Amino acid sequence: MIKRLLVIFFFIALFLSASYADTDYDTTSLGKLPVLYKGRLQPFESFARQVLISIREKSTIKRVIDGKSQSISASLWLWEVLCHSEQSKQDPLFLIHDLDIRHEFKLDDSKKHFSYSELEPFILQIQSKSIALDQTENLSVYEQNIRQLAGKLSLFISLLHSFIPYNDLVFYDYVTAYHKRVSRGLELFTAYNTTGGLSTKTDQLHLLEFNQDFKRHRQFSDLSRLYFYPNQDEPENLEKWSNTGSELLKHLDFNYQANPVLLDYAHLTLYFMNSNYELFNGTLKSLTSYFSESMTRYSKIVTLEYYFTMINPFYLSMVLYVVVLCLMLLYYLLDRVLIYRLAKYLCLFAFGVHTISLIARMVILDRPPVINLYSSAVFVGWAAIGLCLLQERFFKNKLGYFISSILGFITLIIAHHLALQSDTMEQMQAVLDSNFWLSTHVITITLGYGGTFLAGMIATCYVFINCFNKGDHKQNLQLYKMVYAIICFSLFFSFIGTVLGGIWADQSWGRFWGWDPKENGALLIVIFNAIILHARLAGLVYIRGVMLLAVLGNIVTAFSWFGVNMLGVGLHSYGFMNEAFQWLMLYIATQLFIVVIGFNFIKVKE
Amino acid sequence: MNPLNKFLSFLSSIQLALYAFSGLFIIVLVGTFMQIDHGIYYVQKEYFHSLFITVPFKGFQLPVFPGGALIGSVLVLNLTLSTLLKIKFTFKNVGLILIHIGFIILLLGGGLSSCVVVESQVYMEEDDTAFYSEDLYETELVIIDPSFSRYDYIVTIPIDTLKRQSVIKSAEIPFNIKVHQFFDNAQLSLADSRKGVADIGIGKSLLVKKVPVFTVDDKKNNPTALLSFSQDDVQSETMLLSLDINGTQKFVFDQKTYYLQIRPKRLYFPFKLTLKSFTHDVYPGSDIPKNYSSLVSINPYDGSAVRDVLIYMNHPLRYGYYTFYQASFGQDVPSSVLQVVYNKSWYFPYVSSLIIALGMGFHFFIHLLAFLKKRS
Repeated sequence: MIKRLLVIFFFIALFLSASYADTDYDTTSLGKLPVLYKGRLQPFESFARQVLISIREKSTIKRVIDGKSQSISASLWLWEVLCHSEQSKQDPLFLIHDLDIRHEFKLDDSKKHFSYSELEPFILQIQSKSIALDQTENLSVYEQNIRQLAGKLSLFISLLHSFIPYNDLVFYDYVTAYHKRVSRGLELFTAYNTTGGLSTKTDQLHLLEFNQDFKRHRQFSDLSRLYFYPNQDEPENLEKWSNTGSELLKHLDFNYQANPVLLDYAHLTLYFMNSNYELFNGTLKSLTSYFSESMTRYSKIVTLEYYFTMINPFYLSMVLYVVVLCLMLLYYLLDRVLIYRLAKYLCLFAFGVHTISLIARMVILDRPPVINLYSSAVFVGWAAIGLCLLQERFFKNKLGYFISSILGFITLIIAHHLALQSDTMEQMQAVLDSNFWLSTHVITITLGYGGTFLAGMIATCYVFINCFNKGDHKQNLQLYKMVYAIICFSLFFSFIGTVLGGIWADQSWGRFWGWDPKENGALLIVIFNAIILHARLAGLVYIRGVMLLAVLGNIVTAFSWFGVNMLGVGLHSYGFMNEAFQWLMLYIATQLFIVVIGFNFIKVKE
Repeated sequence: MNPLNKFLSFLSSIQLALYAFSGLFIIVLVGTFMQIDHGIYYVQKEYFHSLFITVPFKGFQLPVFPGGALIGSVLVLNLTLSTLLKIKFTFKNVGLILIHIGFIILLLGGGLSSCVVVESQVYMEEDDTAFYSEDLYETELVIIDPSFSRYDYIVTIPIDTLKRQSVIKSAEIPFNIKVHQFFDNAQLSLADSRKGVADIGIGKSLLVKKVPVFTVDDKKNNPTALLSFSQDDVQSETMLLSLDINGTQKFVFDQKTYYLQIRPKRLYFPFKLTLKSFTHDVYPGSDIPKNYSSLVSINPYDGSAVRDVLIYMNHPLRYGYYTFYQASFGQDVPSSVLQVVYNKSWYFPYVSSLIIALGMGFHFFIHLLAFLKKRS
């Protein structure tokens, strides 16, 4: 029953957030258009948000309309960029934190976001500075920022040139003119090749221009990274998708029939420039139906991803977990059963949304749940909460929903920030591309992470309960049992996960163990859990000791999950994350603080 | 309790296990941090495969903490004794005993593999044929005697021997080697008009400068030695040998010709390996690598049939105790770098982790059952 309710709720939420329309353009259909970018077929909306994240470091963009600052659809914004609309060049887009850069180019110091037109005069300067840094190692902060800004600018410029290689014509006009030129050009080319010359000056000029078209489109097809057009015969074969440059080159074949998708896109640009909403939306409809008919395999997935992107269900469940947390605190204060019930069902609902979103991600990607750091955060949270809710069923000590909400909030806020780094659904690097190992090794190891975090969180609750109240021994014993069980669980899973990792390494690299940082991190969790269990067995620690060790386990797990990635070495590293490093240090400090408090304020009565 | 019993009791105690675990935890942690500045190979050697972790102190290497090898040995001893002496052989303890036995095998296997595993690389362009790979770190001095008609007679001397002994005598080489100077890492430069460091060979026109040993993985050390050779009353002049000197140097001793070289240690294959083609796929419309693959053909010496094998990501070629995996590739021409691992102890972790996993599963499962029973 609850499950059904959850499903219904989910779809209501889906409907509510999908039915927004702030312009006369059909942004929903526009957002659903499939495009191929970085090796992944994705809805136009996802691509637009990725671009915004890369340039603006946020997935949304605001614009002042009628004196009010309003959010506009990412898809529509990107479309304006592609069409070279003047407005899109005025949008505050480029985030520049670095004061030195702002001063250097005499930019308005009172704001952080700058428009393309503001930066346009300095593009050459910035690019050449960045190129000069290409071979340098150990860049300074300023140098890193210059490179980043140069990257943002080239991304934007490459977008401006997704439809038209060089000038500010409307794509439709360009294509029509090109179509007219190309057949005459081909004739002249054949004539030139057979006779060895052309008689009239106009013909010679025409051939010259034809020649230049060819060169331009060659270059254009090499540079543009955005693939709009499916192959007419095999639309589902992603290898054969093309960008505008290579599509235009295909016209050099006498028999080539213009790609209807290209023509539709060309019409869209025309209608857009003329602000002809009706024709624009009509063309979009026909384009959408072309894709849904010709690409049955992909179009559903792309649509699903569109809604997934629009709703951002992980964010939704994070908000829900925060509400649950507040309700639980309220319950502890007021002791009303009604509040507890509300918190309970809301927590289950949040967990349901969390679960469905995980499944939706798996469906969209056709991958196991954990493929990168982002998804590991989502999954660690999910596993820990799942385990916690399971324990609540057995122990019924009214802590389960409280702890779940904290775990959900923390892991999902981490995920939310990681999502601002790069595409969360990015393609896997070659060596990681193995669904078998991703679904065995990676899952077990992240279950282990989830377990240790849960144990640490219960232990933290124990510390606070016993500091504020005079602890009740029966309750402490129960918490202790819970922690002990979870430690056994995570020892088991981290060990199996580590071993599976070793087997993967042996299968791929011929060695079981190489003392690589990520391997060491996993080993540290195993050793630490083994230390807790043996210390307990030796009688060195009892309730308080196990609890405080479990809190320290949080540090070990955080280190092996994030810390080792920050070392920037080894086969497993994902690159250095400065900001994340400070947060990790803060987290470690808080955990140490909790241990110190627990050690000083809780008396051992055993 | 007599002292022996007391000592045995300590060796099999859970306290000792805790000391060992804590020690292991510390070295794994420190060894991980050390990889910020040093390469994995160096860290493995200094922290995980060593008996003691040492720091230089007034010209000595002062041991400051037990290394991986020592802790591993203590753990093996502790696990064995505690399993034999402390754990009662009852049904409830089957899981625990399995876990302990598994760990003993795992640790023994780990120790063994640190001694027997050879890691090396082979670089091949398309259509190249290779019959050996070269060790990434270990080097050796080779003395080649070409006077036999069907083969060359080759004597190899590990570089560590040159480092440790000032005179090397062996029945297998026709002369004694005297080490005048040895550098773990050195920089060679042209002597131009000055006098070179050696009397014969290319070293006549080279100068040698000692440089600090590299510990990072991507910089190669250049072991260099200044040697002379003697037998009875025949005494040669000095000769410079160095990894950076490509090819062999001709050397005539007592009217016989030899060729000398310092080169990476070789791992010979039981077959000839030919790279037929190398491909590098990316995801459509991107630079993200999707797959690297090398199509190789192997021609075994034992007369079995020639066959083609595709080596690609997560799918290495396994041949006996050899594993060939796709490690890298050349930028300019289609070429492939294969990492070759020779590991005679590969089955240890498989066997041991299976036993441990079974043991843990069993142990935690009966505890869970007991817990659920108590509740109901």
